[in-house]
Amino acid sequence: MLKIENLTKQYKNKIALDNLTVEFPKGVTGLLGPNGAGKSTLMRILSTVDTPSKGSVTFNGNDITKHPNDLRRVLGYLPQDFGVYPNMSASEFLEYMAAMKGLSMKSAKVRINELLDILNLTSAGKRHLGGFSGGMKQRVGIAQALLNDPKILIVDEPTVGLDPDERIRFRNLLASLAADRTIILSTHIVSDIESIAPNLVVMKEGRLIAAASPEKLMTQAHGKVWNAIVDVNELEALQQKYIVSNSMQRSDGIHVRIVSTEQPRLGADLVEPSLEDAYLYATKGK
Amino acid sequence: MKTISSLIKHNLIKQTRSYSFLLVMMVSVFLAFLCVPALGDGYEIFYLGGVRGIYNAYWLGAIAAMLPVVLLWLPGFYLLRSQISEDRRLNIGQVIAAAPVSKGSYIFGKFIANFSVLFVADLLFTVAMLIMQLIRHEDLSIQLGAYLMPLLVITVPYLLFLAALTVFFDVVPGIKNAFGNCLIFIVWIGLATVSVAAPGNAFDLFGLGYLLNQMSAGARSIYPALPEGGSFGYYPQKTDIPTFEWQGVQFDSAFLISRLLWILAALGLILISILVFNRFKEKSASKSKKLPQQKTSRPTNSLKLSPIKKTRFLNLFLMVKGELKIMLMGQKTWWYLFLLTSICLSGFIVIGSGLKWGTLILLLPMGILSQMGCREKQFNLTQLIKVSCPWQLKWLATFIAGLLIAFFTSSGILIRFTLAGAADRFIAWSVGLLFITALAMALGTLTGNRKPFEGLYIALLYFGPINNLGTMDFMGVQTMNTLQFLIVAIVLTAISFSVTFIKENQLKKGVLKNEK
Repeated sequence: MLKIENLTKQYKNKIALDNLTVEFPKGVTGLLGPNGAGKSTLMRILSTVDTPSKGSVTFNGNDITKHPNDLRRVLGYLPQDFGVYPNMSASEFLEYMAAMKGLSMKSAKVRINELLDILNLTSAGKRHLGGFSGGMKQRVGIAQALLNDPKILIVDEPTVGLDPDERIRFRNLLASLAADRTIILSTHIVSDIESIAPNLVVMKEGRLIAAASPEKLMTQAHGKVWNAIVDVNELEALQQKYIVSNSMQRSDGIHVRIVSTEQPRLGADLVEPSLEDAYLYATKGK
Repeated sequence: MKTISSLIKHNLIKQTRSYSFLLVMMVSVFLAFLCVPALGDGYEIFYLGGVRGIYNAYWLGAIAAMLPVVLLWLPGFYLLRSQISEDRRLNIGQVIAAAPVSKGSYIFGKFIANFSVLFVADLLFTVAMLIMQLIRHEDLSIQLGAYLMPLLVITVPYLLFLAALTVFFDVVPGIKNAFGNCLIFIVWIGLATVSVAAPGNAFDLFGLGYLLNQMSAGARSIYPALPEGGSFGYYPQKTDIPTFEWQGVQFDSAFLISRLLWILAALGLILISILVFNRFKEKSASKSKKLPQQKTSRPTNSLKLSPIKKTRFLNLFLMVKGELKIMLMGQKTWWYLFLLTSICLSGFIVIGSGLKWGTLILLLPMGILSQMGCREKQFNLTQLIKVSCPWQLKWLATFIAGLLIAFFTSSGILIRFTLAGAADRFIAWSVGLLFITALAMALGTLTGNRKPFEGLYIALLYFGPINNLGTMDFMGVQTMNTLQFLIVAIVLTAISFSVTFIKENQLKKGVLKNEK
């Protein structure tokens, strides 16, 4: 079990993480929050790249800030921003990473071929990474994170650069890996995690807003999501006053979803909240 | 015009806010202080047969023109040579390419910005010399013209040409890399030789000989027995040095025309750079290299991965192998052929005075060694590597791999030493290889950049093993300084290890800025 307690990270005068306490059980935990919420800082601390200013991070009871190698042996990490060696092929790069991770090269080679196959990089496996598209590089990043059969998989904004089809496949890949692993997936795209993450951690400005299941989060927004049909002028007025989670142009006007504790206008109907509504309510509405 | 001035302004702001620029500024001021010693300080830096001019505006103005010419070439070039490559690396290139700015404006803007940076450094040195004139108060008559004329006639054309080279070497394919760094050093040596050997001719970019001749003539008018010429260096003086009053340099029209020609040559280089600059276009892949970009990963409903075995302890051998692979990868085929041929031929080298030229083989792995300690930063892989293995092991694997490459490059020569029974040479050469590896690792980890090693290494190779200057022969081909360089290598190794340790902790503390 990966656990953080009273975790604080301070950069000079800025508090990036403020007294967080969260447990990460097996399965996928979605880390949600707007830009600047502190998600990447938390991911860096969890992946032993960074250390907290205060508080502890423990893995199976061991403090990983003191013994980072205990976690690194079972860790797969895909940072938000990473590079590759442009003159290497995907296979060579993965072999290099396998060597760095202390894997037996014989079994690593088998694993590399499997991962290249799953991520559909086999045909490009011998090509230089310098010629890869952003999405293909991202898949190589995913492959290196899975090389050592990680018990903890930390992926920071993994779907950046992937097309919609690829995003769905990546979600499926994570779901299929989640049975016996702890996967922490950071994103600000709610749809990326609502289908695969039974646990959510919502952050805002370095603070923990919620640590709950998607259902529980949606329950909190129950009775606070409204649907209305408005014209363009009214939409602008509503956007200034309320949280508009969605708007769709239809023949009878603009259908808007509004997150509000009060009825935003006459004729607005209460509707069931989506996870996105609940997330907006948690981060902006309270 | 507005676009160019805006480009210049922003490039200048970017440069002047960098640490390296601050360092150049501090060194300029410090040098100015050191270069104008008082009578009783016991040393001179400009040797003119045992005499010197009194510190008036003419004398110090000439020194202010000459010293930057000598000292700015390599640091100035390496500081500024990658401004366009940096735009590409930081992904600003594509934004610029999509903007309406023309190739000409962009390149010319870079050229003038680089010139401005060099000129600001030089101007600061000149001002510092002027202040030193007041501090030494041998002559308190401030004559701005005496400072400005050598600056405008000698230094400005030189700086324009150097700035043009920084852009030219950053744009023209084939010389952007370590080979370009070697080439610029050779150009420097060539130009310096011309300047001293044939002062005042049209090929004298530095103008050193022209100034030296007139200073020397001024001295010999008072002290007729003095030899011709002079030189820069550290010259201890036990007694007060005799002085004379120098009336300044007179520029003749032929020399002035030659300076104009150098400015035109600089503009010519810029014109070629504009023509060659590809506006950040990516290399187009050949048909056979086209990748299936649209393909996505296949469905993973029944994902089954084979078991993976972990070695009980991290396998240093595998890590070194991985490092070697990365280091040797990506070189052109001719490079491998040239390296192997050179190694074979070096096995027949005659042990003796010609051995110094054998050290040139050590230029071949320069581009590989210079990446030690900074490659992960260069390719934005620091985080991935950091979570994959302990930094101590990674450091050790990199160091061993670098050392192996250095030894492999020298294997022909080392075999030759063994067959000749020259154990002392074998040991001295091996220590030299250790020194090179340690220097590369130390500078790579310290600066996070490959250029400082490449610049310093070429200079050290030239002044040390080839010219046997001072005690700089680190390969022991002319003068054996084995123990001295062994100690230096150990110190450098300790430095690189300590710096890596500090950087690891800085990364943890979040002190390091985003790599990009």
